[in-house]
Amino acid sequence: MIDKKDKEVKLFIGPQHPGVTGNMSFEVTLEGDTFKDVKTHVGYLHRAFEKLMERRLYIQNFPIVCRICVPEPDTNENLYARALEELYGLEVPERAKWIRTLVLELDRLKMLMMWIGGIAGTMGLGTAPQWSVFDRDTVLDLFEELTGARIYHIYVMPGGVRRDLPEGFEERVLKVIDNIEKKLPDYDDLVFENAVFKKRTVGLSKIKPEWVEEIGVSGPVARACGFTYDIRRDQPYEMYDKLEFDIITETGCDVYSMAKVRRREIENSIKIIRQIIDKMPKGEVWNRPPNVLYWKIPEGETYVKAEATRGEMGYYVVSDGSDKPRRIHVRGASTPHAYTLLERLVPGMNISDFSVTIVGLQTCPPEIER
Amino acid sequence: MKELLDRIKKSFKIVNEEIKRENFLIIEVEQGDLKQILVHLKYNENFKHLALLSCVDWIEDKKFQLTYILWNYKTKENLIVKTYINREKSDHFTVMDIFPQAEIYEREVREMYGVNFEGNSTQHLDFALEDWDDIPPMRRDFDTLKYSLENYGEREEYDRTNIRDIISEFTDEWRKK
Repeated sequence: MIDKKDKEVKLFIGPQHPGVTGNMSFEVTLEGDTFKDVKTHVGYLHRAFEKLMERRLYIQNFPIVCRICVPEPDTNENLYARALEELYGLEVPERAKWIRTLVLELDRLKMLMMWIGGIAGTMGLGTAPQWSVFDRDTVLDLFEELTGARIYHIYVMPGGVRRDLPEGFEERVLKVIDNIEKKLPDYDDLVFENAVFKKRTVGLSKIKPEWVEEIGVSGPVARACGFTYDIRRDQPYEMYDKLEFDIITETGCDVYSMAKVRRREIENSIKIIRQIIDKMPKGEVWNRPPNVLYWKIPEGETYVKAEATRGEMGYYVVSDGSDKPRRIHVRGASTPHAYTLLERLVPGMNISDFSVTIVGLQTCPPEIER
Repeated sequence: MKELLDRIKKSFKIVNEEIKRENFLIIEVEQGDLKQILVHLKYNENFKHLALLSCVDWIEDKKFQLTYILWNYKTKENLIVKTYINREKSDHFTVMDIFPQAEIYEREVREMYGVNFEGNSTQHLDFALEDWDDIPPMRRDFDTLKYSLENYGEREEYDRTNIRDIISEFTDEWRKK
């Protein structure tokens, strides 16, 4: 659509577009190849999960919550389980907490590997996605062995995890993370220190540091502005208070800084996983709740949150004392990023930089529309 | 959290309160006091981060519960401020002027529950649904089965009305093995 005396063009980018993360579309106004504004549209992946969950038993919602973010399902399972445990007052055995932390970090690692493929692929650096998707697959092999599934694991349960680690699993985890760590310098040469990558991302989509608190920006996007907000440290859950890790920050406030934060997060995750394997005690892994088909949760409400790869992920769960939840509301980091923040970043941007920005913000539409 | 609660109580009327965890407080306030309390919490108590605005339908009490989930970056405290509004005449006000990110959350609540946020000029825009002409779908009285049958027809082979019987059937057989 062309208007204002043929100067401005309205264009839809997405919902099916290789440069957009998932099924969302952006209605943009262009003047030449410069953006004037953007309106985000979601709904292409709306599966009414929150409505569905109100009609199901608590236990039946586990196959739903993991689908709220496809590449990072375990954070959702973990949050949902933690919310139920808090409302019911269910204790989790210590070993189960360590295993859950291990699962969360493996989840983060595979998500970050996939993200490298995403950002490099958007710029036409075709080799990196081939490598990083392979490395992600090695982590998925571990999940397959542990849970029986590669993508949606349904492994975390209220009161613990479904089963203990298989024999020799720790050694295989170490082998996989050693292998990924060994390849990191290659990723640096290929992507993060690549001249094209730097030229395209340094100074792109500069975020004003004051927007972080104003809009509610979180995760690597906030930490790329030097903002030290990491829920793993600020409100520790599972066993994060027993682990030593860095809060990784950069000061550039641009897409390159976001990329550097994520690159260093890979090393951080590897460091955490090694500590977990080192410190994990023996013991029970599941304090089973009563018969889950008749499981009623006492009246109450809670909000639990975790540091997902994209930022703050939270579950607001309300129980009315019956065997089904009254309300479950999922807070994804992508909502403020894909709407308010993006609208502020876009004016004046070149059309070819748009996809790089979207992948840099790592927006995930299913967690916006659920 | 006790000190925070006492400080809030000095200036405002709290209908209900619950200290959930050592750093997590839930307070219930009257609809008329909500805006003042949010302004106070943001500017005087440093609760700068609105993590979520949510709505719960208490159809049996003819009320909607609006929940504002806040976070203090400095003291690392969670706070839920909730209020109840009339379900039949669900008029409320925007808090966009205090928390800019509330714009999108209010748009979602408007679409899913039909709550009118006075002062939010973009609330009428579609969020996840397009050209929706039924009652707001997250309301408890929205009949999902009826909507589904009207729009997508019946699937005869797929009858799972009593899920407990079906699950027990499977698990019993599995146990026998």
